[in-house]
Amino acid sequence: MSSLIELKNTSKIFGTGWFSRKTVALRDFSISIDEDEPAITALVGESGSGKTTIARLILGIIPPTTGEVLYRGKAVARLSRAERRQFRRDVQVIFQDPFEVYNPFYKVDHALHLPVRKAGLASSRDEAVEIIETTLRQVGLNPRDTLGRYPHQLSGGQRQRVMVARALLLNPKLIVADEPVSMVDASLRATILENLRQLNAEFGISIIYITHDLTTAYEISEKIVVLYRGVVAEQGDVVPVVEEPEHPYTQLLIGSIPMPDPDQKWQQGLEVVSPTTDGADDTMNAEYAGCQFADRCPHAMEICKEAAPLYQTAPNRVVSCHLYRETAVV
Amino acid sequence: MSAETHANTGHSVALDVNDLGVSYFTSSGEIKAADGVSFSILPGKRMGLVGESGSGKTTTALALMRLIKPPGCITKGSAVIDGIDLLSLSEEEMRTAKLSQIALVPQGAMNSLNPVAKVKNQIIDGLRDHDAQHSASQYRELVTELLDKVGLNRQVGDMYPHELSGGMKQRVTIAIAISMGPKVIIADEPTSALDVVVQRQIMETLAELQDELGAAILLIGHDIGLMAQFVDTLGVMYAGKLVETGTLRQLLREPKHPYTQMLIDSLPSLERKDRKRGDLRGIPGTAPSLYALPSGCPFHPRCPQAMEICPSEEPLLKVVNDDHAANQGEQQAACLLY
Repeated sequence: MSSLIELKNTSKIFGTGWFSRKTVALRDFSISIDEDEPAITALVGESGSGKTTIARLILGIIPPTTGEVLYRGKAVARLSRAERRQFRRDVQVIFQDPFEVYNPFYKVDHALHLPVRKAGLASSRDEAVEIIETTLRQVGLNPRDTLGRYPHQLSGGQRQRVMVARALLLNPKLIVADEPVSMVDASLRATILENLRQLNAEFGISIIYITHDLTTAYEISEKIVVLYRGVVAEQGDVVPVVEEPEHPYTQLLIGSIPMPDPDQKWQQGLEVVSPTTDGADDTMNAEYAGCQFADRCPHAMEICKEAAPLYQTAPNRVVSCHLYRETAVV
Repeated sequence: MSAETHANTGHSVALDVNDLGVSYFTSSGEIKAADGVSFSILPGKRMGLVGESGSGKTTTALALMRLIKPPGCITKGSAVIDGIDLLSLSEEEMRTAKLSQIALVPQGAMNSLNPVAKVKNQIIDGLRDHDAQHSASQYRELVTELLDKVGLNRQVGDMYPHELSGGMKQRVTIAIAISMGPKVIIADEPTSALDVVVQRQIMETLAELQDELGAAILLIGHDIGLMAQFVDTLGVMYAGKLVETGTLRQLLREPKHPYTQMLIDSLPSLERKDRKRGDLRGIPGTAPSLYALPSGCPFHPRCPQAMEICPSEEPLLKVVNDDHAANQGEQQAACLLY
């Protein structure tokens, strides 16, 4: 198995100046995106969980404080010019807000022609138009309704799909989708998620799907990483993780999803320890080394003052919780 | 739910909205952001208003708070609390009615608190504005009491909004909203920026406080899951109009309007037992532009059950299920199928 992108024990600490307090955005995180088996991997967590930091590391926008980000086995920082160009084509991103990524003064064509030109995909303008039109059709848009228009003339769903088309243009191996459906209505959500799944199934593109919504993660992804305050809480195949969560945080998350069913009210027995100060500041502190969830955990024990390693509870599953200390460490 | 039936039971209704219309007057003509919206909520009950963006749900909420700004204006209708029509009050009278009669828990607490004022002062501001003359120590006690009610400790009063987490800020906005014991609380997507765990805690706090006050709540949102956990009755809006109303159970179990049916069908499968994982369903097409509403029923271009008559005749809300025997109340839908 050759990995396209690999994060090896990466950490990201912000605020390393003399006076600013250090904030750990991500702690000792590892993941490998295989080229041979394109999958949809969901990164799930609340704001401040480190999911966007992971996205930025993968995209090479920020360097890790410790650890390595490897592209085809080579550190991203040390890529040659040609390799870097290939890296930028192989790894694409779709952002949360499909409006802010456009320049409102240019027609949407601009956003599509730019990557074609930069990557040298077409030798003539006609060829470029042809490539763009084909790609738009691939994501279910009619080029006649889309091209020649300004961003504000398109609906939110159309704008988001143009962005999907733009990512697809460069024939990438990996697309990082950062909360792609959090700004669209429920009715459109399904269409855009279907687009992502199609990119994976038909074009063999790996997808990193970043979200705070467990229900859509469950819907489209094969693997899931549940993050809490910069640390992996639980990681594995999506069905067992969501249907039988092992980490107390995952259990709390899933128990808190509001089900649209009048007969299925929020679990009454679910214990919720709510920290009086929402302790985020204390535990994000670089010096704190214990389990990040301990202050909200109903099962907290003495040992939780130490960070839990990743315990392998099943072949494809790891949980960072001392409750599973009987099982082997990864 | 016509005006006549309310006349009989008028005293028991907390909020009675009748034929509310809000329009924006732009260079390209009049845009009806809310048109003929009528509903009522009983004291101690919670009603939800769902719809896509642009469906008029927030416009309705803002109209009730009299916060519609030019070029928009309220064109018709009434909204009665305790015999007083909010929509016909003068600016000054409305200022007094806010907080004491009707209060808003806004969307995005981060943008609704004053970043340069301490939490306690923001709470006191509201009280003082209502001629509640108290000494400094009485105010301090009131603030502590209010903070305690929303689950915050007294130290929070001396903090600035940026020192609080999103959930805590939303709790502060709730403290302000309940400070004068309003009869109606409007919550406009109060938890859309928060994660599910905090969302649940806040909604539970809001429900407890409502019980204590005996107030009615109008919850605006698009998350049907959250509605199912929280409200008693539900209204579905589409293109500025209420297209279906009824009890939560009626709308979730037996939605009558095709739009409601598709909306409920588009919910992800983890939330429903009758659907396989990965079976995604959306609503084809996009919400109509209010500049150019389709003729007749505004939903007909997207409706799988559209009939020949739909583009020419506009449907009105009609009772489709009057299930008084089961003590369910009536369900109404604006669809020509019925």
